[in-house]
Amino acid sequence: MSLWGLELARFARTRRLVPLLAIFLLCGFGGPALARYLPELLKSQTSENVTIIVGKARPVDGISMFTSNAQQLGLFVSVVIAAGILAIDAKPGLSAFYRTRVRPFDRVVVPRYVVTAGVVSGCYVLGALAAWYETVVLLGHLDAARYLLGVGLTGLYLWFAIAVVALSASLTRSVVGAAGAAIGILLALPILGLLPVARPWLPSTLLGAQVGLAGPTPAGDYLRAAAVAALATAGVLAAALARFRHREV
Amino acid sequence: MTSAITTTALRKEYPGGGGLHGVDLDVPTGSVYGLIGPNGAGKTTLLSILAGLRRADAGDVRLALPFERVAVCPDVAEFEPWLTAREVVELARALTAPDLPATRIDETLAATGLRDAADRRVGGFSRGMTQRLALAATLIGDPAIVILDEPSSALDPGGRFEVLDLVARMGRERTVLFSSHILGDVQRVCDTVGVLIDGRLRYQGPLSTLLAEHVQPAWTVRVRGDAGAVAGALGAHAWVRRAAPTDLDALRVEATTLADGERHLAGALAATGARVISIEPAADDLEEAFLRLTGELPGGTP
Repeated sequence: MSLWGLELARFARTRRLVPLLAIFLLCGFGGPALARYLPELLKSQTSENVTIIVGKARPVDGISMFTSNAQQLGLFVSVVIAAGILAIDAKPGLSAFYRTRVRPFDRVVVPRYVVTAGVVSGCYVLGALAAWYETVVLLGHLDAARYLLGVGLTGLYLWFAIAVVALSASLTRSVVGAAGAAIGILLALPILGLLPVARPWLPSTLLGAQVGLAGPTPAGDYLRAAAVAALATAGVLAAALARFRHREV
Repeated sequence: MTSAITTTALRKEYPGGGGLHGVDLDVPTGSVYGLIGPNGAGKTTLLSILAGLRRADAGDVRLALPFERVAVCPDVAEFEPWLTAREVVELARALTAPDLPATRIDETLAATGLRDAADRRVGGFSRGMTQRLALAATLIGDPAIVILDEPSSALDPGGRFEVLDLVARMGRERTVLFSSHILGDVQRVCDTVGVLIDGRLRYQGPLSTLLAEHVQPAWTVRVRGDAGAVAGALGAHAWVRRAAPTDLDALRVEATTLADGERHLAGALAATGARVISIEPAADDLEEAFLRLTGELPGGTP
């Protein structure tokens, strides 16, 4: 069993894959359906004396409903699961098992990062494809190329987010600490994005790409954020690996 | 004799004065070296530095063989709980010696008493079984140097016996550095010892020399007849430090030196005409030597 096989087996044989798939698929199938039937739902819940005017749902509304749920609850669950995998030194005995057999320690961390980020983004893509199908069926046409580009840009953000978890895990010695620090960093970025000058450059801007590209936003608007996300992912991961290498157990 | 592991002026400072304060370790190749010391003496710190898990503040570590030929078994072993014992050992083999045949996995599991538990998930293992698995994962790579941190501390008496037997067998083919606070275990399997107290090596060398230098040589003699009379006769010899009856048919004889006692006791007993039932070393244990070194028994050098 190689370290890559071990990480694949971790997802296949533990229950980590179940919540990821469940959340993203539920959001994918449920988001556009909720957007489509929201007027009827609201109408059924209000009295005859109250009038609620809701515009007819457009395809972009279905995607927006998916992303708002998937990128909050789904991202939170992804970070917690990733922290459980990447906080290797949270269990000193297990850490010693790997550290006394594998050098450099990158050989342990890289498969964990790649497989975790791959599984998280893969589950997200499945959810996004479900959302696309539901949207096309219930709400109308979506440009497939622009939609897939938006999904790809969100996937890039997820690889960045898991790299942040890796860095947090290299700085803390517990799963809770790693998850908490990563969530703190990932929440700080959208707050920083409130500054108009910073927003186009922030990786968190990519979280709006699916909705933006389902509408008229030019793809070029996400170019700077994508470049920064790619560079930041590499930089953050390199910093995490350096920290893991030099850490004492 | 060549050295498998040496350290020179090794230092590791912890807040509060703990750590290592200039340790010159010398583990002879082919020896079973017992590192003993009280809790907090620095044993785990020293082994962790040798294993590459911690860095020394100063000093040198020299291993005679490359990292791949050295295996480490930590005091509290942990494994992926969703793997089976066989998979853990297989993973350890893949990480350390992928060229070794897969048949070694079952052999190693059998040697560590885990044959029947090979296909059980390790998440349900007791601490003793986990310790055995740690030994299996250590041995699977056929290491030339084995570093074991308290390998028998979690085991029941039967398990300890088996593990110590395994360590003793390891010593025939490998260099073993073995830390423990159970002195009887060390005395049973080690030929060389290092006594680490407060981060300093207070003694290092053959176990027999430590016992000769720090243990009061004494024997329990059982005779048929009056033990008091025999004790009185033996007490007249210059090499006898003290001879006194401990029972109607038993006496304790303390010699001035181990060599004198071994050389003269049998002859002196014969000269008394006593009917000797048995002669046994009374106090040649490592615990006494250790307590003398730590100053907890008189005659030591604290």
